[in-house]
Amino acid sequence: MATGYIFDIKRFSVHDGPGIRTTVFFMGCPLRCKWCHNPESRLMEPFQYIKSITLSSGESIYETKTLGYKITAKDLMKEILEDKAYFDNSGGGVTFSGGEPLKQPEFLKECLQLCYVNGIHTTLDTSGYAEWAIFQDILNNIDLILYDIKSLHKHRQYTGADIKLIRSNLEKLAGSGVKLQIRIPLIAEVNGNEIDEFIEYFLRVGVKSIALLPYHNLAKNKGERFGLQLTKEKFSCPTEFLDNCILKFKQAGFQVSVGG
Amino acid sequence: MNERIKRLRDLSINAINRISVERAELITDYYSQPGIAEKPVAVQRAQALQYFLRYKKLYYERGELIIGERGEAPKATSTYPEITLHSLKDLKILHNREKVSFNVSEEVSAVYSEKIIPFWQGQTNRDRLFANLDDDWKAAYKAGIFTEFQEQRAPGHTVLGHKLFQKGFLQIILEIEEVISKLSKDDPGYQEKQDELTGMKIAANAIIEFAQRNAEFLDELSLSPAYNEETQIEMKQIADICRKVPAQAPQTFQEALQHYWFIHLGVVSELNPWDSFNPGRLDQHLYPFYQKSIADGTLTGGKAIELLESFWIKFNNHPSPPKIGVTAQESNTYTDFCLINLGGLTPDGSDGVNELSYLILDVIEEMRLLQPSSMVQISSKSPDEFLIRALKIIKTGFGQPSIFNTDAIIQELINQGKELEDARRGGASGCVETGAFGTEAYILTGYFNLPKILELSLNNGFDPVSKQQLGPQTGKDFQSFQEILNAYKAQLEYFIAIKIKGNNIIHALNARYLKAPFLSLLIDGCIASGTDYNAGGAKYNTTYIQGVGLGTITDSLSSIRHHVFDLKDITFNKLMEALKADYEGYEEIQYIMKEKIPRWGNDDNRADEMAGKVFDYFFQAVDGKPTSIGGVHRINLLPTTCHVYFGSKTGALPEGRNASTPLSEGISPVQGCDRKGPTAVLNSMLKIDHLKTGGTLLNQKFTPDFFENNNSLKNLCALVRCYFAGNGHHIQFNVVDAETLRDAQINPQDHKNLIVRVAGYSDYFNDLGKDLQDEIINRTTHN
Repeated sequence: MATGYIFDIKRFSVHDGPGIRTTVFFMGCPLRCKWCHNPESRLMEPFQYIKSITLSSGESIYETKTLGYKITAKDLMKEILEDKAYFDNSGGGVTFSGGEPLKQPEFLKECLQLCYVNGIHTTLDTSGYAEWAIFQDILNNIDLILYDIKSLHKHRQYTGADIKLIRSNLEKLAGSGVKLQIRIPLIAEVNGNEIDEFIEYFLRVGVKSIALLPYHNLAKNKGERFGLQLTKEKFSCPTEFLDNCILKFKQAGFQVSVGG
Repeated sequence: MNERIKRLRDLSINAINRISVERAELITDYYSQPGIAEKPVAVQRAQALQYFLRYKKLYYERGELIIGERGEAPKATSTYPEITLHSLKDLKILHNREKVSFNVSEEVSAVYSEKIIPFWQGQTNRDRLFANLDDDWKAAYKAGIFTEFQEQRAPGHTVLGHKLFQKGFLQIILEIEEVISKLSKDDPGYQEKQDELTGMKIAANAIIEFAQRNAEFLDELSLSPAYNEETQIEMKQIADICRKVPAQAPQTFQEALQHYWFIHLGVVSELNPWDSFNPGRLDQHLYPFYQKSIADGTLTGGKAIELLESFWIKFNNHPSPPKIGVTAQESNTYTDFCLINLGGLTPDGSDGVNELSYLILDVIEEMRLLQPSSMVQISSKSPDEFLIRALKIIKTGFGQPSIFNTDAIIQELINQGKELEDARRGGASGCVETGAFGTEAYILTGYFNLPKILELSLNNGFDPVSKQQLGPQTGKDFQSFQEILNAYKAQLEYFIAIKIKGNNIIHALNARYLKAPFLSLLIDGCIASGTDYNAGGAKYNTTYIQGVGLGTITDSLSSIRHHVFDLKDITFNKLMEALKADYEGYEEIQYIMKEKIPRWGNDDNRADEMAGKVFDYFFQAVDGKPTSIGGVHRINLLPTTCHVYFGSKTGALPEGRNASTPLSEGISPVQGCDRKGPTAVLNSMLKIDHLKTGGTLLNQKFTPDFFENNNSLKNLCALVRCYFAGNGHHIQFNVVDAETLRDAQINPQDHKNLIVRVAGYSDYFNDLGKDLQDEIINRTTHN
């Protein structure tokens, strides 16, 4: 029985794939995106931190909290199955997200197999940064891949990882027959100048479904809460920029959605 | 909405809620006549109604297509001194109170002081009830263990069935005469039945006469130069309709609406029944008329909408009768709970959604009025399209229409012994109450404070709030959690027995003194048996007790088990000290009891199991207990605004709740404590057996931006379908963000039209008390 580390399970998740879904957030990520929304997901194993609690009297107490936990695929499946009726009724299922699920390949593989056995639709939300052999090993049990591409030219600068592997995996996946949706975090400072090139590249690869994720800074306090240092760089996604991107992708014949 | 409707709607919305003294005066005049006391009660009651309808002022507003008001004008609200007598102080309170006030003019106060109060003082139904109820009942009532619906109002809670849309009152009179002709003098109930039927006949004639009066009034008024020719023609047409219905069966769409409206006025003028009467399955009842009138060219879709909108305004013109004291607190709203049912199944079991169902949804969306309230019945046979159309209106954020499970309603009714066809003709009324429309008297008798029972159990029957020994001594040094459950069960049974005994006293008194001959004409069984609606004359008779605070009691039990008996990190004595101090000085314990416990609404069996136990105890204590009018007791789970009142009567509780704060509402989780999303909430809710109840109430709050995603309606549709496949009874969505609500508290003038779902009904946010506003803000929002 494979075990893995996860840091959250979100039920009634409606932005990560079709229908009503349960999204499982895996721990560990190979990327270090400077705008990261889930900085806590970078950790590979549960970690403890101190949280200050204000009581109704105004007095403060401190509590040791643990972020993330170890779970067997079987136990995870138990919680997933609680909502099977909702998946079936809405065309939903499970989304494995993170962090990077492919960082825990054995655990992910077993989860996917259990979903297959139980007739649950599976979605993988990935950065694409993993050896091709890992993809190959699990591809049979995945219904949809949400594939993030952040930048064609500044990938290393902003994420710490090279784009080469991500591109080559995408090209192979596009030929494999698995259903793919590209997700681009729209950040003017990072990929503002790359839209035309994105279009050209995705047309060449042959992926027609695009989700644009406009940058927001809701995660600002999150890093501080967990004592993780994030960049001080400013990021933005002006409405005009977003509208222009939507238009460009649509004109090029892409099926475009905004948000998850 | 066309100009005509817009004008009438504005007039209705802007009319000031005020007290009309007309009914009180006319009823007093009637009873002041010599010789009245010697007449049989049924005859007195029928003649009193007749007297009122004969002498009351009539009202017509230019452009109206449906005629008739209970008061002299829209929102002029009648009082019922024979049931409850408002003192001058009460009238002052009604006039001055900040929320749900009624303007009381000096003239009204003067008539009350000189005529109404001297006549009815000590003679009201309320006086009669309190003189007959015993001390145990009164002590429990005062302590906030239960409330009493009949304290200021008449029993009622019934809905019109299909038959009354197919016959006129002349035919009803013939039916009465036939029953009278067959009465046998050997029947020991001969005289009583004879009197009862005589009363019914008078009541039937009274409504026919009233319609005729309206016809003559319109004829005369139409001669006035104040109206242009087009209006004058319209007035004469309405007059012709009044000459026909309700004496004869309606033939056209407009006649059917006017026919119903006269019936409605009859019911709400006769008495002030909880909760107000309504036409029930409106799309089913009107469909034959709609089809016929469309086919013969006398009606178009647009005209049908205009007529329905005119009909809608009539409901909005009629606030619920003024309430004071506990009754005001348990149901603090102008809404009189007319709940229009759409969709569902036809009597032969096929899908009931028709063209008119959609047309009425258009009307609901366009009118955006608090009254009448509306709901859709969704069966497994209802098309998704219908549910999605309803969700699109809900998305606009005024809490209507609410969503009900037809298949569950039918099973609930069948479990109670109703015939299949009667069950299929049924639905929900009031907030969420299941009923067989046209065949059942299902009288709601009061809310029951489930968490308060735990407070008494933990204190050996002593109530720390009212500082008296209210319950039996059921133990104090608890060695196991089971002992606490045993004490809870014993206290619950004790107080339910007091409530049931009280119900039977009240039923018996109402059966004898508070006859409702007009209402008896409308519900199957009363005429045939020669027995009044309030005396068990209906085909089915059900008496409900409504449990309140399921979330609060579940979490309280869960917290005790978790910390005192499982983890053993807090001793029972320490917990009791903390509760006694209302957690002052024990804030860390409060934090633990609030934040570190398994809670209802999170799909956590450790908590959900507790809800199951409380549900079973409550069900077993109530279900099937006979009533004094030949019916049986049943349970349902809904609060209206009583969770706020009960909260004010309940001390600190083990789930971290402070004294005097609201309890949870309906079967919903404790406010803000469902943290795993709506699927987990629904899974928890399905762990109690809804089919054993006569209705449960679940509210879920969503932010408006949730709906911006194109798939959100499809996902909500799936959510509803799953809940209903699991036998959930009702679900409603409040679509509003907390930020808007907070702003509305600070700047009410900017949010005059902000409507929110309270609990089984919608209300203007500004009309809610601060505590209830806070309670709604604190409910968990899904996004």
